[in-house]
Amino acid sequence: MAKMTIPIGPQHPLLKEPLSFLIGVEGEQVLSSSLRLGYVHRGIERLAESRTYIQNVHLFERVCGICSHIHTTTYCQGVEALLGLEVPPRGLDIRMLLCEFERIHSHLLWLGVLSKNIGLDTIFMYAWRDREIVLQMMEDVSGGRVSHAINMIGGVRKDLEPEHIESMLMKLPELLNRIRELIQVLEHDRTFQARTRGIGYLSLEDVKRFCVVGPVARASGLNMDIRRDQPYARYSGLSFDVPIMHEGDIWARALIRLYETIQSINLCHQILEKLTSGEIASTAPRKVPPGEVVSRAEGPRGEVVYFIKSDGSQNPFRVKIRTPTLTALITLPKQLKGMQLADVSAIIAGVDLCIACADR
Amino acid sequence: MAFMDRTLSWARKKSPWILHFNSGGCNGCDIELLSLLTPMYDIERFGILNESSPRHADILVCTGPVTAQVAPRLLRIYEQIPEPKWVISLGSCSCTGGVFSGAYNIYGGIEKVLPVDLYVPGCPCRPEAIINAVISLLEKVE
Amino acid sequence: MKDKNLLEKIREILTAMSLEESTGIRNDIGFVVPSEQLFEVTRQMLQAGLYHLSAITCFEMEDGLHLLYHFWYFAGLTLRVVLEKENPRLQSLTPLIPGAEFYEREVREMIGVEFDGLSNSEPLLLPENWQSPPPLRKTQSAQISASRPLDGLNEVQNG
Repeated sequence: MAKMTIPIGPQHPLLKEPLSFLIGVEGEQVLSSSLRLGYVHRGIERLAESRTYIQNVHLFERVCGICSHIHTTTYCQGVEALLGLEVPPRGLDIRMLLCEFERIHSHLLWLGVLSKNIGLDTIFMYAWRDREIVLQMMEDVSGGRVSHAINMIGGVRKDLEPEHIESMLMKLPELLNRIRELIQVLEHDRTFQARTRGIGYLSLEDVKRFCVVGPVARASGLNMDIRRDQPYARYSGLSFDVPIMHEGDIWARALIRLYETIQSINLCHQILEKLTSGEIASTAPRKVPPGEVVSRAEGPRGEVVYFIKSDGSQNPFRVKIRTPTLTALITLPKQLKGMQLADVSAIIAGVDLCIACADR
Repeated sequence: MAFMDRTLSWARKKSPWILHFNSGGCNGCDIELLSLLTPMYDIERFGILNESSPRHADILVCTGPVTAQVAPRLLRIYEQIPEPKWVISLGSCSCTGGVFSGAYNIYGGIEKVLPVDLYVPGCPCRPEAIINAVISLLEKVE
Repeated sequence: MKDKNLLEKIREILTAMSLEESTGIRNDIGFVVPSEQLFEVTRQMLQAGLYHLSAITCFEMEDGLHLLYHFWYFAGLTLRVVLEKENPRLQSLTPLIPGAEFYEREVREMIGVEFDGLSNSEPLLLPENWQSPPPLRKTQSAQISASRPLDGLNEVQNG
């Protein structure tokens, strides 16, 4: 049978962002694949060196629109460690609350995108309708649906109002019911399972060798979550489970993300009920003393790492960002090998790509 | 033939199909654009469909500052859209380069590469602003 | 399950190899490793049970190019390698950790270090027509901002 190379991207209905795949097929079976990144490379790391620490908070929020809050959280944590600054507990609580909201919104967004790619538009519509509840709650807290600008070095800039807390405590149970309905669909619907079970398999050994993080790794059995293993903010005072599965396919990744959403709703309840009173931010000096720090946090897609080196001036000497999508992208050629051409759309969507994060 | 022209113009105005292309953006404006398809904002009631092929589209909606790698592809996609076509530049990054202006890898705004018909500022722009933009563009179409 | 003594064991292994422990990085265990010993040190750490490489950072200082390998096992451990600025070469870690491929490709294009044994050394992020020096070099920064990719713009608009 003839061998062909099929290009996917940079503009393609499957892809929300520019990314280029070249898939080598023989008939319907994928033999090899290669990918080309760099379409969204904006040179942010170099740009950060010519701006002050405070201006960089605004810049790093725009590395990625979906996981904007976790980027600024990790960055601010790093700079606060260099300054030796202690953030007041209420500020940390508000940061954690938005981190968990962001996790919920990102997972629902991903579920919609996956379902659209495999042809199940109804799940897309339902997931994004439920996502609007989370976006409204985030808008109540910060004033913005997608870009919050709530982190600052030293804490957060906006406090929670009592009426917002009340409305959140009313909306969270409704959201929980809707997520449970979606889990029912994923666990029992035969069409969804036919498109996702056994597809895109990664073993635990592969996950360790490629240093994969996040739900993709947890779906293959790797028990790693920075919130529990190296707690930041005030996660050490909260109790939550980290769901792990061993099937390693797209179905497992989908279920893991929805189980994590339930854990996040539970965490939001705990944060709102145990909210401490007091200040929300400490004053931070403009100049950061010389030093180096590695700051880690658990974003919706996995471990986000920031390395910040300061030389004593108002601008950072070097900021290095490592986002979790990069670790998932390196496994794609392995996942695609031997699969049918019709499953390519599910596999590409199954790793929760955020090319803006990967390219920076 | 005036009747044909009027009918075509009416058809374009009542049912413009958009092609969405992300030319290097952070995704913020893209997810607000995709929210328009969802039950809360529902742009299909205006006849607007999100198309996937450049040959089927009337309006090119672009987000993101134009990076060096994406610029030739963006121009090629624009050329593949049949006339008449319009370009909407969504978000501050695609208008002027936004927060990334001065970076070594971006041109800074879609206007450096394509002729733009409508600019929608915002970082990111709200879905209501996008609906307003498309409706204002349609009012110009005659 | 967490092996509580793993990082201590690794600290002992690395000290036994006469490596200098540095306290430069806040909250992390840090060691300075000569470039020719990096591969062997990584092999010993993998044998002991440490497998997660988070990132490889690169930056240019006056005394040379610093490469930092950030590992993680419930806490951070960073290895620092200092290379000279002219013709920097280092052995690739991809035979031991395949996941290091993307990080090494990025370091190669951003600062110019050549990795021996890296099977795919194509640029990861920079555009295909990139002519300027590596973007993260400080000493050539004036050249980088001068020769931005706008040179190809006229072809793009007319072509």
